[in-house]
Amino acid sequence: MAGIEIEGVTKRFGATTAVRDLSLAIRDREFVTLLGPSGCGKTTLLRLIAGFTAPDAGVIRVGAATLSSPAAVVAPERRGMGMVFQSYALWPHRSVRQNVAFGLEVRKVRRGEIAARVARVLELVGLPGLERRYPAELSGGQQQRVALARSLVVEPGILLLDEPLSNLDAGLRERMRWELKDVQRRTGITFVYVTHDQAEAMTLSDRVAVMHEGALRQYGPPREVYGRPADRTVADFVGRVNLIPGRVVRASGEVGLVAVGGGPPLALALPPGAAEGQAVQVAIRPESFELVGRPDALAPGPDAGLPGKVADVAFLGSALDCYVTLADGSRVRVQAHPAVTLEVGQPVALRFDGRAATVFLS
Amino acid sequence: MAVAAASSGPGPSRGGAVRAEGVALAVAALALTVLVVLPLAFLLWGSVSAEGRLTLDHFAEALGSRLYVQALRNSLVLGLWTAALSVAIGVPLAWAVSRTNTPARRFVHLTVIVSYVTPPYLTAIAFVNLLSPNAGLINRFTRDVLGMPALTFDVFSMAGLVLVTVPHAFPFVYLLAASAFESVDASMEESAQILGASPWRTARTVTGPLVAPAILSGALIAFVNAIALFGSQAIVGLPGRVFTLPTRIYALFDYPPQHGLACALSLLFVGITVAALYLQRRYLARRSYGTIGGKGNRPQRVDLGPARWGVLAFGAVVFLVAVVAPYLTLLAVSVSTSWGLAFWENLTLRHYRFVLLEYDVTRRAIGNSLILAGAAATLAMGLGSLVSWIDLRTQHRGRKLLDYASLIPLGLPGIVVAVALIQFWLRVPLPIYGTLLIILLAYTGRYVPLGVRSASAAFHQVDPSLEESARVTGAGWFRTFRAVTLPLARPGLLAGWLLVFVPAIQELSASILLFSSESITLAVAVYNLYETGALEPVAALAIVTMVIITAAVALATRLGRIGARGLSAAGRTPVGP
Amino acid sequence: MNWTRPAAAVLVLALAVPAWAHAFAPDPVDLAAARREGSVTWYTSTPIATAQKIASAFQAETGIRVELFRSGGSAVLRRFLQELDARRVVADVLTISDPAAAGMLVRRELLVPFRPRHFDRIPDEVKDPRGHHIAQRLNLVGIVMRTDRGAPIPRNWTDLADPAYKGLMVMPDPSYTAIQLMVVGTLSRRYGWDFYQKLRANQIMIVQGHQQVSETLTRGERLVAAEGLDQHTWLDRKAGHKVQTVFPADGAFAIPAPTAIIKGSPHPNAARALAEFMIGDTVQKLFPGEGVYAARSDVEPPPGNPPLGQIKLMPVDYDQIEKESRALKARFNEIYQ
Repeated sequence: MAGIEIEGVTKRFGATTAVRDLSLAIRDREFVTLLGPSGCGKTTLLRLIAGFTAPDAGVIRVGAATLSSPAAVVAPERRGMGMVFQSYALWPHRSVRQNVAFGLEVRKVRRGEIAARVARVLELVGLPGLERRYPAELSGGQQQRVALARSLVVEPGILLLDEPLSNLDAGLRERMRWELKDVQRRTGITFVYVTHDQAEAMTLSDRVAVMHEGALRQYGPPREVYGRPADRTVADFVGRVNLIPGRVVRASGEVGLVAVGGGPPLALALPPGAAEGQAVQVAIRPESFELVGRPDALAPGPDAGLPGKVADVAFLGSALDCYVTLADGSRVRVQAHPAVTLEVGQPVALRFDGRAATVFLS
Repeated sequence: MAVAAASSGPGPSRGGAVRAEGVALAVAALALTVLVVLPLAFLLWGSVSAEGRLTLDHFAEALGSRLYVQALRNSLVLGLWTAALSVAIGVPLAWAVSRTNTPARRFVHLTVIVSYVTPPYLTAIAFVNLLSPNAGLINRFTRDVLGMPALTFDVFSMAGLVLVTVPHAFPFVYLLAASAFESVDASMEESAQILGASPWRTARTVTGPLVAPAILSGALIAFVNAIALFGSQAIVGLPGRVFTLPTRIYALFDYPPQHGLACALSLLFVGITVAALYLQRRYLARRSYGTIGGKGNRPQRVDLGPARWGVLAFGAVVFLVAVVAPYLTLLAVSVSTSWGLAFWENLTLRHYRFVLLEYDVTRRAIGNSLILAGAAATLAMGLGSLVSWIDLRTQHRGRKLLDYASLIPLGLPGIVVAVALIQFWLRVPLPIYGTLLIILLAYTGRYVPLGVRSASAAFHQVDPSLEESARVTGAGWFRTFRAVTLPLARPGLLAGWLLVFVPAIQELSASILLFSSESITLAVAVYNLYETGALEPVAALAIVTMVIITAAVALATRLGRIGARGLSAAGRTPVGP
Repeated sequence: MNWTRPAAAVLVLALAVPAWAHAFAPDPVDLAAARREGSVTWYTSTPIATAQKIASAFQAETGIRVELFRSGGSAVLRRFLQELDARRVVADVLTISDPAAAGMLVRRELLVPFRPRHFDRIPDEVKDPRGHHIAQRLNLVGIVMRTDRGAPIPRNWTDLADPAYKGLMVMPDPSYTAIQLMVVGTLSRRYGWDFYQKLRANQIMIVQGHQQVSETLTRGERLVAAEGLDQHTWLDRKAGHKVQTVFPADGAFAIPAPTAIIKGSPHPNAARALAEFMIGDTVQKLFPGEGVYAARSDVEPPPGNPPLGQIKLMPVDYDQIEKESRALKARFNEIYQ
């Protein structure tokens, strides 16, 4: 199956616009995640792709066929896609076998072949031999796998997943993530995955589409979305980030000097339109900082880092979680090595690679 | 920390709470004993005793005599046919209103409500006017105007009895089915859809099995209700010599009354009802599928295309048969000098004048019915609240027993309640028989289960943590109840009150055995007047009855809503994460 | 009591009334005490419109309120006796068309002997000599039929067994209507239960009471009442319906409707006032206009009807019927399953 093309799709519910002029292209065999907070429109977009609602504007194409447009929508039962729901939607009055076999029965597959394919797909999801059980007798993780099996057995070209892991507990969720990724790689089905958990998005996806208030903010591989957030909302949503106020001291094209947090000017890449004297916000991840315990040991200059004082320290086991107050009073969250000893009030310097910082206009 | 608070809390209020709970338990237990347990015990005793000795003669006669076996069989046939037709009508209408884009859905819903509220004996009287074999309006039309005598329908038959019973019974199936349809999680159906199933296949393989328990449940309730309706069975069944259990039991109270046999028949009747209710519980319990889970999407409405007009037509037919036909007929007869003469030349308001101004009984009956229904609703809700509150909020060991005792009347058809009360109060040296009080006892006893269930639903809506937070800040049991529980539960409690008021004000099956001249009720007055054969005044009284019922319900709803809204706004504590 | 003498004797006695009257001193009624009691409860099976008229007239004349309870004769009796069983006496005055039951009540000493004014004008057959009960009116029962539908006119009761009447007939249920119980009890003795079997074969329709019978005829539902009350026929005729009572050659029935005062009732004086009122001029002269034969012999028959003396009446053994009532009803029910 070819990829999915979403062009200029808008969906309104009464006075609210759930999806705003959104365009997105998903390649064949790709694992794409729609990531964003509650209410950003990701589930609506997924349901538009599935065909449960019609767009108010724009088109959705798969390959050469236009599946959705404001005037005409191909019914969900004729799109050849699969869908896994957040609640799994297993039919309680049917056994596992009957649940999984449903799609095959609709397609009038022969009885013998149905049994074989059901057995095969249950093996694939790691539930061999559970055909006779009923959903009420299964654990959450098992139910989720049955739901997955039910969608996979009909060999769809595209599988839509609506937060399928959010009802599981943390440990199980992490395990299932790897299994899902594994299944996707083995079957080569295009996965369109919806979640609000950015760690999940990072782990699973080939590309992440970050959505906010109905619009697409950034679309790219996880490394890019994380390291080069397109705007403040993306930066803030994906991972933890510090947004430190600063001022442009000198601007020359794409690079300039920025005084960050009341510290000495540092050489950073500038966004277009940055002028001298402009107030900006500098985004730096906590783990991008290098905490220097004895700042007086450093030579002055742009590499000396930002001076500050330790405001709070928490031992997390695998790291030290610190809050440092900078010269201008702004608080910065820093991750330090657990072996370092820090005291509240201790003067420190924060060094970082300029490439790890993203500057946004205020 | 909670433990410390309890031990350091003010001592007297804690002891007071225990005492108050004890009193509540005692009151509830006493009320239920007098209302339900003792009369039932006397019924049991009456069925197996004659002149002080134990005997099975009554049961032998009940099961041996052709008269009574035939009545048993007729009751079962009536119930089964009514249940089947109720499903045939109720399920499509419920589906149309809750899941499709059929136009004028509110109108269909209204039809069902009006059908439910109409006293079944009025429907029976109206259909006698329409379908009595020779003189019924419709039969005359088909025979004389259309010239098709083969199409005439004799209402005085089992078929006719089913016809006049279904309008009252199908709303049970409709309401339960509609509720079930609405709580099917959208994802259940969407997951079938995306796997390629057509809407019809989805409905058949997914939706259908999910709502089937509710529909069956509704059918069983329709069955239980249908067989207990004395009024329509007397009005339509007797002239057709179709005897059923209620009418046979009633006849046994001719002088000299045959108490023992009446008790035995009553117990057989109860047996059937209890069996049906037991089936209903088992079905529900075993295959009760959870309703909306997770984010709970409401399913999309099915677009029926041009077929939706056909569905609306079906609803319109139901409306015509269940609402228009009865009311129009009664209205027409009530303004006719003498039904059977040329209609338009003989219009008069004479019968209304008679019923409202000259016939003393009407005024007494209206007053009695309003008082009885109001008092019964209040008492039933009060007792129901007490029982359900004890069950939900206390840990008393006896509370389950109390709960079961309060549900017993569900298995007692109206006329059996009357028989049981007669057995009990004739032997107790208190002159209650023949007064308003015994009818009040009958109504309250009959509707206690409804009170318990409504109160239980209302209290369930109040999170215990809301009450606990009040208790922790020092409020005593009663104050908490008054300031937190009651305001929040009030809308549900008022709804329950209305749910009892409506059937109570039209109750006939128990009243017919318990009334006396001073305690006559509206339903009995209508039936009595019908017994005298005075068609036109009966129709006038019937219309008056409906006006009174509608006015009372409208007034109660209006008052209740104003009170509930105001109080709940005041009493709502901010609940936040 | 044995009603063996035919109605002709009634006429003879009526002529002898003046001789009686001089020797008769009525029991007094304390109207002031009655007014203080304020109300009187009357249980009756008198047709509803008539009953309401009597009640309103009494109220107008004396100022005493009448609590009326009106239902079929069996229902009224049942209600009264049930209340008695529960040791409650609510009814003050009882008027039902059931002389058999009245006899039973006298034997159980439940009634108050009372001979008010005009007692002497009531024929002996229809009252208790000590005044335990006095007929208020006479229910004349015959075969009633629609005259405009071409049904054949019967001469005797037995004619109704003829197949010509198939699907045309209606009659009331003796389990609900005391009058019908008297008729069934008498006819079944005279002609055997076979007569009723034949009526069944003729698909006779059973309704609850006489008013339903009348309405079945006026609606045209059926054309012949195998046992109908003349009062209703008279009223229906007056309203414009084409109905007529046929008094069979083998005898019609004149079933009295006795009024009785209950012993130990809540309003004893008001009860006497009502009982006296019942055979007074107001009520008795009211009856002809209602199509009823008054109990008092000096009151004329309903306009257009023959005087009682001219009608052949069948005698009724009320005591026997009272003893057999349960068996009679059971047998009837067995036939008309």
